[in-house]
Amino acid sequence: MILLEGILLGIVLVGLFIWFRSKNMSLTWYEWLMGIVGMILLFFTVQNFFGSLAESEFEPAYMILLFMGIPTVVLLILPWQLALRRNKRT
Amino acid sequence: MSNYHSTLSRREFMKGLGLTGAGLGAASAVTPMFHDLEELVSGTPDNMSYPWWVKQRPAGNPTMEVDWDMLTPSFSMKTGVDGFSYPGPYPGYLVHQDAQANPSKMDPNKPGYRMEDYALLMGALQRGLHDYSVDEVLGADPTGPQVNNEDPNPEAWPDWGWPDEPKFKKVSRWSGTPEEASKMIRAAAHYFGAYKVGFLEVDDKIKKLTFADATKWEDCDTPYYTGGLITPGPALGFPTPVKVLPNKMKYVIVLQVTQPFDTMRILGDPKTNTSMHAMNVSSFVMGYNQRLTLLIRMQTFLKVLGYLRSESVWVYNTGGGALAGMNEIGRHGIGISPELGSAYRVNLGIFTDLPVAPTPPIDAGITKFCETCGVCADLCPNEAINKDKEPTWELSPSRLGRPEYGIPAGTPNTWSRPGVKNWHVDYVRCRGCSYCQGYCVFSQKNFASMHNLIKATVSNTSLLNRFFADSDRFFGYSNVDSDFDGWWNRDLGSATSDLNYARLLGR
Repeated sequence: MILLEGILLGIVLVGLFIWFRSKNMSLTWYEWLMGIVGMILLFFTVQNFFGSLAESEFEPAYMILLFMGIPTVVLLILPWQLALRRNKRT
Repeated sequence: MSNYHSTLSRREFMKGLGLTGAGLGAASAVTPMFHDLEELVSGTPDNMSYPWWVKQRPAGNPTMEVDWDMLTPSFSMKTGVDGFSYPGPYPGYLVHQDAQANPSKMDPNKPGYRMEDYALLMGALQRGLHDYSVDEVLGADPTGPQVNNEDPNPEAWPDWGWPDEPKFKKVSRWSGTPEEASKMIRAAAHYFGAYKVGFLEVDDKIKKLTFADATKWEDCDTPYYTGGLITPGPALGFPTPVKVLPNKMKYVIVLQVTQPFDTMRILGDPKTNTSMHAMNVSSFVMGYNQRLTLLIRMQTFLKVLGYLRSESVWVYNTGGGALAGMNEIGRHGIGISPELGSAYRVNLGIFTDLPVAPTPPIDAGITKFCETCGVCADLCPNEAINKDKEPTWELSPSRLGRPEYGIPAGTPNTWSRPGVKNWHVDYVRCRGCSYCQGYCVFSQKNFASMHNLIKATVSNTSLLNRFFADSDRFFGYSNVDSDFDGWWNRDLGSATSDLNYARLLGR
């Protein structure tokens, strides 16, 4: 699981890096911060969702998905959109 | 333009310095402190392995306060102390009288009470609880060739000869330092099925965890029965023989015994189900069977090493576990371990003359957490668990009594020994179900990483205790499992979690 997560994270980061370079984009420090916190939350949410399912704790699993998943999505989409729109303006 | 010099401003440099300092400070605050390499090395192999956030306390000083001078010896199973007791005078017989586990309650239309549930219970009962061939105090009968050639002298054992064959040479009993003995016992005990292994040195405190009139101490060579019998008391329905232990049995090996997790938690709605049922009880008896198996194995192990071994003289296993660092004691008067929560069966205590290195009590913030949590008290279908915030030395009377058994509300508490500051359980109300154990906030399987994150936080600060307790309820962790059919329809071969958890517990 950890190995798969590591590989996935590596692919996502390399993809992001290549995409930024190709679009000639850069991120501000707070966009980096939001992205990193969002990424940590993403892994935390995924691990706890599947961990709770493994515990046969189904209701907590979906509550975790809901209440941790929403801030995760916000924290990942926000910097992406901010950077995209700033780049479009320039 | 390329930069050949630093573009870091003074402000950014100072900010970085501050962050580094804060990081170092935080790291040093949570890192265990060792003064030298020898302390580090000696601190690991001989001591019990805890999660990193668990702190050790001075010997004889568990997190639940005990006034050892006030705490009197326990007599005839009639007096005890929650957490340091088997409760009396009530509970046993009332539990048995209205036990839903009684086969007369069998009901084909009631999950948990169906024929297969009773078959499960009776199957789980076999071997241990009704096996009187095992003498728990004097030890298990040796198997194999020793039966015919048992040497009464424990200083020169084993004696491996077969009948009519030249005997193998006699050997002196095992010898080593207490630390070496602890390591050896720990390895064997885990192999035999113990989840956690701790050690104690017998003193007056430990003796207060035994039934005083059924357990005597003398300067003798081996344990023996006096022939006296303590007649069945109101607490337990069987007679207790009086035994004498040699004063040289100065150590206790404490083994934590688990029990099946899922059947302990499949309980049904607490509004309609107020006591244990067959499927639920099967988890208890599986745990007690595991205890007896473990006892026999460890007794035989000690016997082959040439040392005395005993059991059954220690009844206040939760208190003993707290002293040996296996658990803290919770609001429900039951042990809570940092790893298993309250979801374990018992701390087996084997008295021996093999010198071992005692393990100290622990502090993982658990008893403190109980002050603000109260999930067990809210779930208790019989309102037996105290809901007061603070623990107390006072023995408050039964709030509701048990009018159906002629015990009125306000009946004075005669079932607890004074001397422990805790939330005294109203054992007149308790029916022995396991809502409190199974749904304790700490009783999770630990597959989701947040459990350990929360436990680590609770151990270091009580600031977020209320938030965590409320979150437990909000996220649905205290919603009771009623999926009886799901348990029967599962295939353990494909149920990864059950299988993995069983492996984690060494089964």
